[in-house]
Amino acid sequence: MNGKHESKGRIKPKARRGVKKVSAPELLVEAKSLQIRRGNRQWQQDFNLEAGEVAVVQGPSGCGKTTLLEALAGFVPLEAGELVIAGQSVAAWPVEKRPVSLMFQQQNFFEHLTVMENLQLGFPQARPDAQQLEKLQTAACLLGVEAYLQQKPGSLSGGQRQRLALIRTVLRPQPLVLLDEPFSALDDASRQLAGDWIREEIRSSKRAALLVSHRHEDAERLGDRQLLLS
Amino acid sequence: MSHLPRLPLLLALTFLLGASALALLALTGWEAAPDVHLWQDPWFWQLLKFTAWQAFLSSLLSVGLALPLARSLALDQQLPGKAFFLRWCLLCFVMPSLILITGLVIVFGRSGWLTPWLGSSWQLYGLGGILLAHVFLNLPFAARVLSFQWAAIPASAWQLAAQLHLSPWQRFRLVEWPVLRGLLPSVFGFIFLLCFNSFAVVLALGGGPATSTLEVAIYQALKYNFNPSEALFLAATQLLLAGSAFWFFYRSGRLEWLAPAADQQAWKPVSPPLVVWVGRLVYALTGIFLALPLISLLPSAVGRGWSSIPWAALLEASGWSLFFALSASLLALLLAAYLAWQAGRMQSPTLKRVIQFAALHHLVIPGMVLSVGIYIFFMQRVNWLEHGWVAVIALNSLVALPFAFSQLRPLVYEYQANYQRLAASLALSPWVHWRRVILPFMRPALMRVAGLCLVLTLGDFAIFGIFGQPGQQTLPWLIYDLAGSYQLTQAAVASLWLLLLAFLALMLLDVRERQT
Amino acid sequence: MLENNFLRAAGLLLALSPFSAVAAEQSLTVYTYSSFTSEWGPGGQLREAFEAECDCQINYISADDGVSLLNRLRLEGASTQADVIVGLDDALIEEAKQLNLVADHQLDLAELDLKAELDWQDEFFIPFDFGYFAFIFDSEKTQPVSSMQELLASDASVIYQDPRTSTPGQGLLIWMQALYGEEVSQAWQTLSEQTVTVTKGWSEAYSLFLEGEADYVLSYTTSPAYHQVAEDSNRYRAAAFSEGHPRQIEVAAVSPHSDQPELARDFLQFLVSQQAQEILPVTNWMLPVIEDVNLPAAFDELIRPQAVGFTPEEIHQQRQAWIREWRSAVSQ
Repeated sequence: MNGKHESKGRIKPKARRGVKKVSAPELLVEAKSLQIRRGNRQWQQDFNLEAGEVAVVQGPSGCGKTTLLEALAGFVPLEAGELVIAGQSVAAWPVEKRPVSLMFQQQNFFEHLTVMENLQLGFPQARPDAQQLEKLQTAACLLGVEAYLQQKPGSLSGGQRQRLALIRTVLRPQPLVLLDEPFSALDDASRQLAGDWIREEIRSSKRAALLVSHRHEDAERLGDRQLLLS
Repeated sequence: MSHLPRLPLLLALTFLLGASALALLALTGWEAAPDVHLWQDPWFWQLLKFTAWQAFLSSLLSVGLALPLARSLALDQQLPGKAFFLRWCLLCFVMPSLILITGLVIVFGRSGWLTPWLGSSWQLYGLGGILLAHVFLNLPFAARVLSFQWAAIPASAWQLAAQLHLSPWQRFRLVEWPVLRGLLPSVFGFIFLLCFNSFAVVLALGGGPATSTLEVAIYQALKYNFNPSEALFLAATQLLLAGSAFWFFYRSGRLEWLAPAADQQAWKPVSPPLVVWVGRLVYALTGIFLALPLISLLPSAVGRGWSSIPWAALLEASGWSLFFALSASLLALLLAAYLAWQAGRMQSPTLKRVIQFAALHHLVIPGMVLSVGIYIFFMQRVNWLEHGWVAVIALNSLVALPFAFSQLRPLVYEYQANYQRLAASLALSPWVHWRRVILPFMRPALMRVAGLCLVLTLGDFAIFGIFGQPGQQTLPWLIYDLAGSYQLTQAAVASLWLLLLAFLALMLLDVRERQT
Repeated sequence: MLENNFLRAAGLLLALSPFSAVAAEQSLTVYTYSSFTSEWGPGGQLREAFEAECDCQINYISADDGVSLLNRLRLEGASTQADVIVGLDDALIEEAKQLNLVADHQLDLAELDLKAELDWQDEFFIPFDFGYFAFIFDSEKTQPVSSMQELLASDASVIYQDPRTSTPGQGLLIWMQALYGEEVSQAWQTLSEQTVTVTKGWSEAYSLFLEGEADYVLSYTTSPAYHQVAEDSNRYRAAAFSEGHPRQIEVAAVSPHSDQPELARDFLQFLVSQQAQEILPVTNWMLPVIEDVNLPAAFDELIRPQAVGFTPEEIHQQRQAWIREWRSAVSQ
């Protein structure tokens, strides 16, 4: 579960800064005056993401980072505003229809299925094609978890589970990838490896990612943009 | 979500609640007025008295014998074959009772194995036979439940008692009795109800109007006398007494009879030799008692050679039995899983309660009462001679549904609590979600419930008794006919065959126990 | 997986199960009781004989016994498939008439040559066999009693049938009523102390008796003939009671809903023919309803009791009350 729902008074609009690099600007995600509410806390959010971009969401505990991701994924209703992803206005779409791929802080696996079965569930009809399968394998090798694909998630450590969940979330063929603290259980080396892989994957597939992290260096290293909540 | 899924839910609820509503309407005199004059008939009071008396004696004997047995099972480390015995107990409890009746006739009938030692006044037909059968069916249940309870006393409590040098009597009073006290009334009450609602045993071994239960009298009023008014009055009485008592006992205590035995390695106290040996004696005698009627089937079955076995009748009855049992179990399973799923995701607590009520309330209505109500309500509208088989399937599924639902519900709720968000975020199509994720999650539970439903519906005697046709005779009724006319060879073969089917179904039931 | 297999199995069974028998054309549907159509019953031989001369097909549908047969007809009403109803008895005649379950037989009774002792006048039903109820005993074990009174005074054990489901049971009901009238409750109570069990049908009771479960079983005076003919044994005999024995006449009738009443009437006529009357005694183990039928010698040795009892009208009016009285008395 996410524990970030204490409300702290009033709305603080986003801060947007640090555009490092701009290629041919193709707008993939457009959030205009999104009205988000969690409990009796309410705020407004505006941001844009271009294809190939990774944005890092930062802010103190309880400022609504998780809620923002959940709102984008459709778990928290948007009270007002417009959300356009890949040219479609999706603000009113149910979770199952939203073109996003979300990684929760916890509970990313069905514990009774093997890791491989869990990974396959991310693809249409739960049947990844040959190319997607190969990508899964490659990513698992790169992140050092290829040995665990046939095991049940329950037998793995937190870090192994996190890397495997990351692989499915990022490789799912959805335009917008949402990652909630994807590195919290990783050591520094894995963190760097995983971060680079995400960045490369998003850029080459011309999709976009929104990544919540409480570590400043993640924003520095990974983020094409930063989204500061307060 | 979309509005379409509401329609199946509405249909399911209409089916479940409609069946009971129509049966109740019939009981209140919608189709034929209940014969209230029975109130003044001494036979009616005699009937009530005997129904309650045999149930009381049966539960007293079952619980009384189960106590030393359960204690040995839980505490005597040297008892051989304990695991097998406990599994055998489960089989005895859920076994179709008609199997037992053949065995009892072979062992305790006029020319039975043990009859020469029972004295000249011994009589299987009547109270004696009824008590034998009821104790056979319910003692294992009581022993299982009580031994789990005894085994659940923590080792620390035993160690403390030993350390304080408590005498065996003090230990019983201070450590064991407080644990059992809460459970005994529920076990007693539950067995009392099972025997109060007894049908097959009493019909087969009752031996006449002097030893009849309400349930048998209802059946006879409708099928022997064709007297719907009398059947309705008796059914209303049955519902009132058994239904309210069931509700009371069901609410007052939960009985975990499927629970696996607790850790056998834990520290156990030493009992006085007399207690130990009494326990072992009861264990041995109960073992013989529980084995004999079933073992006796074997020599009787092969006694007169293969040629005397009615293969055609057996095959046909098996076909019908399996057809009814598989269809009813499938229907019960689908309803249970579907309703548990819908109840789990229902936002409104009222609707959730409505669904749960619909799925569970048939527990309170005896199958015979439901059958008689439905039979009489539709008598003028439906040709039961032709369509009775539909009712056999539908009503059997209703009777099995509460068991299936209460087994599946916690699991479905657990799944939904843990995985609903994950499943939504993965945008799984309903088919993929069901086939690739939910089914693997639920499979052990579904197998277990399927096994339970199959055993229950294979053993159905009452519902088929009301709606069944001679041309579609099921195995229990075939056995009843054969054993009734003393064709014991054929009855024994049919009983063994039904036992085998029940045993196969029970292997599904065992799935969880093996896994944990 | 599990579900798939279930579905497949259920579907297969559904496809294989014969839910309704398809009736061929020119077929005569005969409703009767099950022992009539069993492999040793008269059904098979009668069918063969009748089909040989009628150029039609007989299709039997059987209920457990006479009473179930009546209940079935009552439930089916006008939708019944029955053309002919075979196997009700004189005690059920009145009820069947009042429920309009039978049609006028339109046969001339004078031409049928029925036995005079039957004194048959009914315009709906034709008798096809008859018998007297009696208690059967094993002559190697039991010294017989010679009256009901003596039986009740003895401590002999008895098996009889439920009067609600079985014709012999109903016969005993009539018997006791005829002999004891007002004091029948007392008599039933005495009998219940000697009763091993009350069975649903005749065959259960008789098999229990043959297995040695009781000294006497309620059956027919003709039962010893069966043992004589089929087993060449005269071990089992009927006890002759000085008070007389109740008589059962088994009857047949045409259904008012039959679409081939002509053929149905032919079948009734056939049932009282010399040919059928020779088949019935040695298969149904009852007495023929016409004179001068060729019978095995065993039939000559049977006891020939005096008939006691009531008219069908009386039985019809009193039956429920008698049953209640019986039920109360034996459950004391």
